Amino acid sequence: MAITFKEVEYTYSPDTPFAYHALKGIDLNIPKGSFTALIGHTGSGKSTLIQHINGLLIPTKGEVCVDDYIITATNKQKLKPLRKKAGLVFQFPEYQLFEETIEKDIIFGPMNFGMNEESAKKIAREMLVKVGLDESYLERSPFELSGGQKRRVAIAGILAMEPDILVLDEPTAGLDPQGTKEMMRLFKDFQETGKSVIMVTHDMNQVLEYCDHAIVMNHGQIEKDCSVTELFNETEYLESLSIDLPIITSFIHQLNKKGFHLPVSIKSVDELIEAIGGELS
Amino acid sequence: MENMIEVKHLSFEYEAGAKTIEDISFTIPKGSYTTILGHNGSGKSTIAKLLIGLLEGQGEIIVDQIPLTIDHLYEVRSKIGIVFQNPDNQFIGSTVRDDIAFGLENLCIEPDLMPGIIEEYARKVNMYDFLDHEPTKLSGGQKQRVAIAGILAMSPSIIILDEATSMLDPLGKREINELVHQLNKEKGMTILSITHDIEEAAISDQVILMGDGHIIQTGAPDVVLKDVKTLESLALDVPFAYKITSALKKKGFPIEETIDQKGLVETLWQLHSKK
Repeated sequence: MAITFKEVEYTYSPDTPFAYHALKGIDLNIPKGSFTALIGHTGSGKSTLIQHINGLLIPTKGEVCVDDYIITATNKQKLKPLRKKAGLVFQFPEYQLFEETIEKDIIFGPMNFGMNEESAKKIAREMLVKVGLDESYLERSPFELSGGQKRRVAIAGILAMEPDILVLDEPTAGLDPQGTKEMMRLFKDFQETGKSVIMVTHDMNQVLEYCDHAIVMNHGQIEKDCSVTELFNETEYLESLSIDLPIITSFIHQLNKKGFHLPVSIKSVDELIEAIGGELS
Repeated sequence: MENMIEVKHLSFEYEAGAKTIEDISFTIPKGSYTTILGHNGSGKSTIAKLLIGLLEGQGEIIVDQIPLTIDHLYEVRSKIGIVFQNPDNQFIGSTVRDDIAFGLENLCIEPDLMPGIIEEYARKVNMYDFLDHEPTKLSGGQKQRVAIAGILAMSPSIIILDEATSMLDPLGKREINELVHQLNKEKGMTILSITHDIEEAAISDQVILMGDGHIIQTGAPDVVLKDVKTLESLALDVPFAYKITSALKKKGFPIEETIDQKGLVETLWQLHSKK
């Protein structure tokens, strides 16, 4: 499912003294099956933008197309089916857990979209295992879990709705390195089944390792829409926005300044070691 | 060196029979920068809460020669400033200015001196333009800066950062880390940082590795962070420079394992130019 934004404008509290023009002339195309990183500073409009993808916010002007859904200020098309297709995971989703047991929490979403209880329970089991917890957790209270485990349960709840698009707002903030790796692998697996992932992140190491497409926002506008490799080639531009390079890319640039000729497209430490070894021998 | 914090045989359990912290002992030298590394649920944050007496465990805690007991609780707390991961739990004032003032009022600072102190620290964390804003309406990163300014303004002898920069973007993180390092060096504040960030640990003075409520290792980062087996068994990352140097050494290049990234660039440059 491709996502297209055409001249999208969004203003919070329009026609009041608090009016805030959060999105300005957004034109955007996110191809099906891509892993897109949405980058930019706090207040650049990232969160406002992602809430347009499942119709939580309706553009003040312009249109958003997700598959055959067209969202405009005047279109009164029902948005509930769209919300099943595009699963939105807010920052700290563990704060949204509310049920008595983990199973009840996970099946809440699918049942809300009309799935019967039996199928919902079946899928709850599958998703729980997928996020790295076993079935023994089903009957436990989500409030007894650690922060990282709660986050997994919250994400299992979104995956259980079987969305075609996963929209994630800093999904690994506060997780330890192992938890981060497992979570990112899960999203990568989701993408590799041909579905799309859009992720807001400040972690450029993740962008380098997992994403293929990058969008940079600044002051409510899109400043860059390019491949990840192109993005990290523009060191001066990124510096002007105070966006750090991934540790690997930054290291490559430092070595290249000292006479190395390492390709900046390197994405993993193993590749980097190979390349350095190659130049030294 | 004199110790700022001494912990002896400390244990704690939230529920009877399930120890979150089990018989841990460590010391933190005055003026040092110590990091506690450990995975989610390893008991790191519990230690922070025990150190300021928010939780009561078994064992002994001595802060700047004062034993942490009910009689000395406030004396000990006056020495420690703590910043938690989620700043929402820490706001009192209706404006950023009031919020920073709250801590100063508690310390009975002369009212005439307060505006100067508040403005100084608001500037240091880049929140000067927000002094009259309501803390709850700020973004996550901005809130965290305010919380940090509020603590720094009180000039405690010890600052505990409990994953305090995990909500900040990289620039914000770097700015706060630099500020904390500066306070550590220039004012001699003792820093205890609880973190997942192996690269932050690499530039600290002492690392305490935690796993499942126990201390697995304590020592200089140059030693502790080269113990790959232990780091991996605790689901922690290995420093970037170490990954590169150990792999190159295995390939037969004349290079020693290091955790120092800047030094590594120099070393590789020399190897490259000798080629």
